[in-house]
Amino acid sequence: MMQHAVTFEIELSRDRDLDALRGEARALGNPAGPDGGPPWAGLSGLHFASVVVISDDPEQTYPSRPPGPPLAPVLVIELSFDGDRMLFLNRFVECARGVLDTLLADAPQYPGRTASAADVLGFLVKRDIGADAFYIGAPGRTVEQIQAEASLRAKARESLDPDSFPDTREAYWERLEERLQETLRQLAPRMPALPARVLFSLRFLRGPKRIAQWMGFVAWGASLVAGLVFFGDLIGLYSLGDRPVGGGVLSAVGLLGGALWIAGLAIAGLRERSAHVRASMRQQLLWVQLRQVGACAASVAVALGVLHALRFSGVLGSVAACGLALVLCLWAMALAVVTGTLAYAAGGSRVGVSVAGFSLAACVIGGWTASSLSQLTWLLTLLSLGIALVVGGALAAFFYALGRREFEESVDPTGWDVEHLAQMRQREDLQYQNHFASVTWIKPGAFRMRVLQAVLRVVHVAASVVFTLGDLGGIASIHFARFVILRDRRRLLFLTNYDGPWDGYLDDFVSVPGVTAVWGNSAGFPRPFLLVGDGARDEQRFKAYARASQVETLAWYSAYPNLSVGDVSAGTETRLDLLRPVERPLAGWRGVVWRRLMRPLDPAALDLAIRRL
Amino acid sequence: MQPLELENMQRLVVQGYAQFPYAAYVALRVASAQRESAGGDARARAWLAARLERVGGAAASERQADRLLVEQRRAGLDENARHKPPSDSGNQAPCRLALAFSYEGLGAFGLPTHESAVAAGFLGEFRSGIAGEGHRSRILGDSGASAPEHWRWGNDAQPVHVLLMLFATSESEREVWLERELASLEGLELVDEPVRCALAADASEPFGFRDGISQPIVAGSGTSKEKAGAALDEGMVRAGEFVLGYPNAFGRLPASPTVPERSDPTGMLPDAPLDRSGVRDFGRNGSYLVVRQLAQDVEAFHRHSQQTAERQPQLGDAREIEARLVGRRHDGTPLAPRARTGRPVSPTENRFGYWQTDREGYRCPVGAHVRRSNPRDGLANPLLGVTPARARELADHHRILRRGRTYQRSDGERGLMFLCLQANIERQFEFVQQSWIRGERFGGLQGEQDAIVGDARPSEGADSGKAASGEAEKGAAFTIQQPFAPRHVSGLARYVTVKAGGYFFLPSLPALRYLAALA
Ligand code: HEM
Repeated sequence: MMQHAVTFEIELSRDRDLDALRGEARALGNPAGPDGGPPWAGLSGLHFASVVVISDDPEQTYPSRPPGPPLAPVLVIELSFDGDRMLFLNRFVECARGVLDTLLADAPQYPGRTASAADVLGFLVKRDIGADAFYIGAPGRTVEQIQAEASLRAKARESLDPDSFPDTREAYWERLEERLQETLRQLAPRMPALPARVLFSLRFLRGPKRIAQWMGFVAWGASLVAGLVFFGDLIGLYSLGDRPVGGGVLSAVGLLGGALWIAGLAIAGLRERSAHVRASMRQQLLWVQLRQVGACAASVAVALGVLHALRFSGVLGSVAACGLALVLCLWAMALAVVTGTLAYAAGGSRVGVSVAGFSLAACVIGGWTASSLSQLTWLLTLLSLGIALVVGGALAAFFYALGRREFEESVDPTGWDVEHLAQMRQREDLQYQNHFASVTWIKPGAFRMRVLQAVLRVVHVAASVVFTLGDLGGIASIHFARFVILRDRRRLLFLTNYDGPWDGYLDDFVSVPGVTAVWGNSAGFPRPFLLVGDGARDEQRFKAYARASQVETLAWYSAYPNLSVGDVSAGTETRLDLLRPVERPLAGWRGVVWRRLMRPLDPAALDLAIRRL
Repeated sequence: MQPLELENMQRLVVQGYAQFPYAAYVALRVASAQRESAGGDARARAWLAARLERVGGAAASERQADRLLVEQRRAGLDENARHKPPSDSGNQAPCRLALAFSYEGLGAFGLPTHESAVAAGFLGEFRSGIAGEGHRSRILGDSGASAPEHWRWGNDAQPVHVLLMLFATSESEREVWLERELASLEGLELVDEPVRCALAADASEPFGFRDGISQPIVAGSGTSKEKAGAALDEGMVRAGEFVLGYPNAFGRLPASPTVPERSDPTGMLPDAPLDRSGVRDFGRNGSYLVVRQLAQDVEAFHRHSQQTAERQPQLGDAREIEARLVGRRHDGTPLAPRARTGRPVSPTENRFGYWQTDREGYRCPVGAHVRRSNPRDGLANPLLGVTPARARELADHHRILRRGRTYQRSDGERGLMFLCLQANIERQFEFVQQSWIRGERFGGLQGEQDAIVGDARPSEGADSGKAASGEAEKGAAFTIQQPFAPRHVSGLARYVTVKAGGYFFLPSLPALRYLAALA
């Protein structure tokens, strides 16, 4: 079952007494523990919930508010929950009716105390602004499952016995499994089977976790390349009046997939080995970078070679095609090295560098491939150069515009407002998890809005496709987080449910390019460099800014306030390790997959499994 | 790399005054009558001006001169004048001072902290103080017997404005000079009895462990260690982590307080960096100082390890158990084996990591005090792409320069006068205390804290008083990792109680002169 995000943004009347409202919301508790009162406690499937009130004071100067008419105050309710949205919201209205009636008493258009539940639901659904970017630390786990797995893990830990020394680890593990049979049987119904996606990432991609992420990048870049190549191919082929390309496309796609898989594994292997070399960060990054681009280019070239071998007839033709592929591959790598180094030297991030490398390599490979197939070599070379120029020019123009803006936009000085700080910290660190709500002003103008929307889109997709193993590009402490552009289109709301102290959490943000790419579009943020550089890396100023933008979390609920993201993942893994004997056997291909996933643990894995408890 | 302006720094930044084994820490307050006046207290400034000469500077030549002075002094003392009252003055005196100010203290001396631009330049945590907020006490673990309301000073009832640190070569000299200081407190009043400290000959702290071994190596400090480290390409911490005015671990200048140009007509302070005009840099070459007086319950600590050794003989004898809690043996030898070479390690060895040789914690438990307070590369996590090198780099964002000494009161109370220097209190001291020392999930552990400094547990008295009620009776646990299954030391009580504390600013020498000259 997957998790969903609902964010209600409810406009309040301008003359609402906000202090009184805040008082009412505070009564819901921050933190309202898992067995806190209504409305949260009765809502099964609710992971996290929060309430904040955002007011606007045009006099307010920090964080820099751009001039503009004052905005009406809004009340925001954040919900993260399991399963179907409408089913959940129905139950939410049922449980939270009383609270909603008080908080929203004079919100414009609120149906009121006497209205039917359906009306209130309708009112709310219309005000759900969802999330422009939504991230889940441990996707696919229901609340019930998380809690059950945590208690299983606790039981398993208790059953460890330092005084019984069996001959082998297997024997030790078996004894552990025996002791846990009863607990497992009791908990099994509360631990539904995991979604295939989650199982897949846990079992196949676990190795060095980053494989998954790199493969994501590689696949992304490769599809770009493939697209351009086929574009070039098409022009080449049709201009020659050759046969259609359907079969070639199919085989190419298949081969590409295979090549990607192998390349991904190779990269991961290299990475793992390099992890033990004490190279400087800069060197490490560069090597990862080069390997990534190189491997991608290599795999594409291999695929192309075979594709062409299919087209050329005869042995000689195939050999020639393979030779061509080799040349292309070398070319692409050389290009990647050059562009990658240049972009890196210019201070770009890893992602930025990849994009630059891929697009250049793609243009050239595309042009060369096509041209090698046609007699109009010079024409197609020119064409590919033209594409490169246009794309390059567009990019250059974009970055020029961006760079100028970044240079001109003003930045808040470092500084602390101790009263505000004290108020924000008052409810922090009462339990392991914490909540952070921030509202920043988006820099005025359509350009910034476009950039922000595009970046949020990328973050959203990356968060749901690439970062599925508990860390968001190096941030391993987020349970649920979201960025939402408020309806007034002038403010950006960030809500996050995270682990541990605030300062440590923000430390994780400092080196993540995505953070600057998003918040760099907010007024007063430390100056970014080409979208992803600098910005948050100005650590002290960044943290001061983040604190200044913080709004009080009036009410906050967590269903498992003392579990970290790591605990949630470890719970699932423990359960997968232990559950083999009791899990209901599945029939058909799913059974085959299941057995494959549940393969017996080897000694090294057992060691890990024991230590994980 | 930018060389450090040692001639402008107080010596405490680069050195713990090891040649001056006897110290006294005097908490002072600007006398209340004068405090109210807007421009701060002129008498207090005169007091400060009179002390400037004896504030130890960090310049190499000065350090060298002091070394000679100390040697002469020792020789002289041995010969005859043991009880001759020291009549020397100025920097010939065998006594050095260091001065640090609280936020209110700076205001009381006349720094224009009522101007919001000046105020905003100081760290938020420094301004609100160590004891001023419930949240801060919560994250530092200052509750129960350690709660600020029980402190001797540094809380709301007993605010401190200046911390005068006095370093002397012998006990008698310290007493003589301390007496002189106490007799000449014009405009200032004594907040509490001075804390008297001495460095033990074997550098041991009250629990019996050698202390003061591991310190971050500061890039550019020009010490012999730094030079050796540079030659070996060893990880060093950027100067801006400890002194304002230099690039920190992120390559940025740490936030530095500024003052309006008009308050410094003679230009004693350097220009503010970057594009800020009309202001001068008050913070450059200064540092933030955290002070905590930590009383140690030595008897209870040893009694516990004795009892544990009797109950769980598998863990070894009492000293073995204590060593595991600390992560070094009593003589200082680290439990973690040194990387690569299997050579026996010396007691003062400090070039080791945890990841390559002891990632499971089978030798040095993951929760041991030294491993918690500086995990080195031990928090690497290949699953998250955190290589050992990266882990060390991340850990180096949270280093502190320790300048503590052990103290002993006349009523028998013993403990550690904990002092540490840093440029960012929240990211350094507070982080170490909150996330590492008190972090219940540090390094994959669950629900436990540092065995030495942890606080989430009954103090000894409460323990014996409360009968067999579950948790309270068991006390806190400490995990000793082992293959198959870890073992646990249980029944840990609270052995360290906070008795006083404060967040201070240790100004540069020019900033001290500026303060003394304020009109
Ligand atoms: C009374 C309380 C304390 C005692 C008895 C104590 C004792 C020790 C001992 C024996 C060492 C090993 C010697 C060395 O490496 O220099 C040590 C190291 C250290 N302690 Fe403490 N300590 C206490 C409190 C604290 C506190 C409150 C902090 C910080 C918040 C702290 C931070 C450190 C650090 C950073 C190290 C160096 C670790 C390394 O770099 O390997 N200690 N302590």
